[in-house]
Amino acid sequence: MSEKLLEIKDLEVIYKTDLETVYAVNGINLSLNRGETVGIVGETGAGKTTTALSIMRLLPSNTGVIPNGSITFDGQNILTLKEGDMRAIRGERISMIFQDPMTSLNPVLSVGDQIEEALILHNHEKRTKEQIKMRVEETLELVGIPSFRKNEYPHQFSGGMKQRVVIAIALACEPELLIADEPTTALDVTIQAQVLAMMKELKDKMQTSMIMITHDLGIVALTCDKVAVMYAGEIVEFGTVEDIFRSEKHHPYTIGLFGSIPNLEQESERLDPIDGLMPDPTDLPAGCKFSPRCPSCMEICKTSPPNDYYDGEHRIKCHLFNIED
Amino acid sequence: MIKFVVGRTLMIIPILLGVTFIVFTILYLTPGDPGRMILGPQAEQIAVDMLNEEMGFNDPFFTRFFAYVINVVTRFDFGTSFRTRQPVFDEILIRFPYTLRLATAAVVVASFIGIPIGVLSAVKQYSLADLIPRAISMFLAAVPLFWLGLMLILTFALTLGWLPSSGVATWRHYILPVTTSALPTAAGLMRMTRSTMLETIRQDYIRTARAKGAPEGRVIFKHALKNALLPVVTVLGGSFGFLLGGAIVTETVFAMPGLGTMMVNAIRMQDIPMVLAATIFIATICCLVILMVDLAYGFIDPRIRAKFLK
Repeated sequence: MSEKLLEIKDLEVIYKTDLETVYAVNGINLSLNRGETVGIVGETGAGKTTTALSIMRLLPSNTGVIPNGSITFDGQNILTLKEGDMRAIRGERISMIFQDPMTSLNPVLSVGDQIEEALILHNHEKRTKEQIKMRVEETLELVGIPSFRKNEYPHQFSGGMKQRVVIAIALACEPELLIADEPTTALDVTIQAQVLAMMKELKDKMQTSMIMITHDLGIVALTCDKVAVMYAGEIVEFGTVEDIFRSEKHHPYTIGLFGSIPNLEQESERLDPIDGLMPDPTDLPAGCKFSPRCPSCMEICKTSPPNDYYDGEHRIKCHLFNIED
Repeated sequence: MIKFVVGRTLMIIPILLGVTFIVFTILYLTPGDPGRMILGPQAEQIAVDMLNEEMGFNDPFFTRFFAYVINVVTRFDFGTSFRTRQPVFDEILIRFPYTLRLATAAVVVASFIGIPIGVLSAVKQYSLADLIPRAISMFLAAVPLFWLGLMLILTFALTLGWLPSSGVATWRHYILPVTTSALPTAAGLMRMTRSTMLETIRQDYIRTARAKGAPEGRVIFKHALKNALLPVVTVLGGSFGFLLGGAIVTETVFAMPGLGTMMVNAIRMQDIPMVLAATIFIATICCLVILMVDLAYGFIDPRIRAKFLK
């Protein structure tokens, strides 16, 4: 159970254009065991999707650069793999559910064809055409779409149904690692719950590891085993769901995140959001990236970046705890 | 589907009536004496007047217009040429195959050059494979057609002596005119394909295709090209219609007996029935081409097909 499937070490990603350099991901460490679900939470622009695209090696080829770090998947560093070898992994061993189901499906191909494609591309079992057709129908039924609709086109499906199709594409080859990039952001709340429940069920059935990217803490509590809180391209806090939701010690940013959602047990007139905005990723603060917005900011925070503080598996990147020890 | 096709085909009728009316009015307003045109400058004035009266050229405008339309609709009679005294439609039918051959070949050649190069230059944006075709296409789109034709004649017919410069006797005679018509069309197609491809390959569904592990060629040709093709087909249909309407410059430069040269001659000779018939014929062809383009949309894009079927 504790076998490592994915390990990200000191990963840095920048987007380099003629005008500026965006520091999207700044040295993150993350590991994932088989069958486990890790949630990555954080604001828009924290580097969550960039991290996911790095694992898929699908960063925009003209701007995205990985200057440092390694991503080890099942023992091999995928950042140094040849494109052809990577292609064999993509869609078969690692697959990704994209954020916006409205634009993630090709409008001129039928949904059946789009699911079938992954199966044809990774046909190791030498399935016959008939068997592939069967598998397509099976996958559709699995995500709750009647199989007779496989010849229909994306415009004939509703948003929630489209997201199911996107999930079906990702699941068709029974991947070992599934990256779900805000799979429910584009959906309304009732459909959200259905899709999440379905994903959890499928994950348990197929023993898939999952990275769940979201900015919804409710989803994290519902689906994840471990959580990484990202801020300005760094993981500021990492731990089990227990650590994040129950522990006394937290990164000030995590406290801020929890302060931004309504609490059922406490009577309060207003929510307590984090003041200020994310720092400009082209010009990050010198010390702790969160220091300009941090309510407990100290002198040291403005000048030197904090190290990780460990409490078992729970890890917090903040000077507050380093000083105590 | 059938309902859509029939409906669209019926739409052609009012368009053609409109075209006929406009051209008829313009020709009615042009100065000139039809009787004099037919009988020639030496004829007696009295004979000219008698002919005008006899052929109804002195009748009021609307009487003449409706008489013309009724003749065309009921007897398919477009009148006789002032110059040759032959039914004009027969001459159009003799001339049309040359133009059709030229236009079809030009459009086919243009697509085979323009679309692949457009795709290549979009995929390799800002590389030499992009810059060079773009520079060439800019040049071809800007250069006047007659100059291009003359340069080709100068190079391949006069200097090198490889190809004939005028006439339509063999397929070799078509090479230079087809090239002349095809190159600027290819340039337009290339630029259009490039810009729509650039837009398409940045779409989310292209990333989805890559995430499935699809190789680049498959991503481009199966996922992107079909989406990028719609505006390209529009341009293609437009150029085809334009070329069928008589590639006047090309035909003149290469002395081809096509519709274009015929029309220019008819206009110069004030051969009114000929000009009218040719215009109506070309308008019909253009309408049919546009209809085909609309149907091609449905073939390419299921969203549009869904609208047809409803």
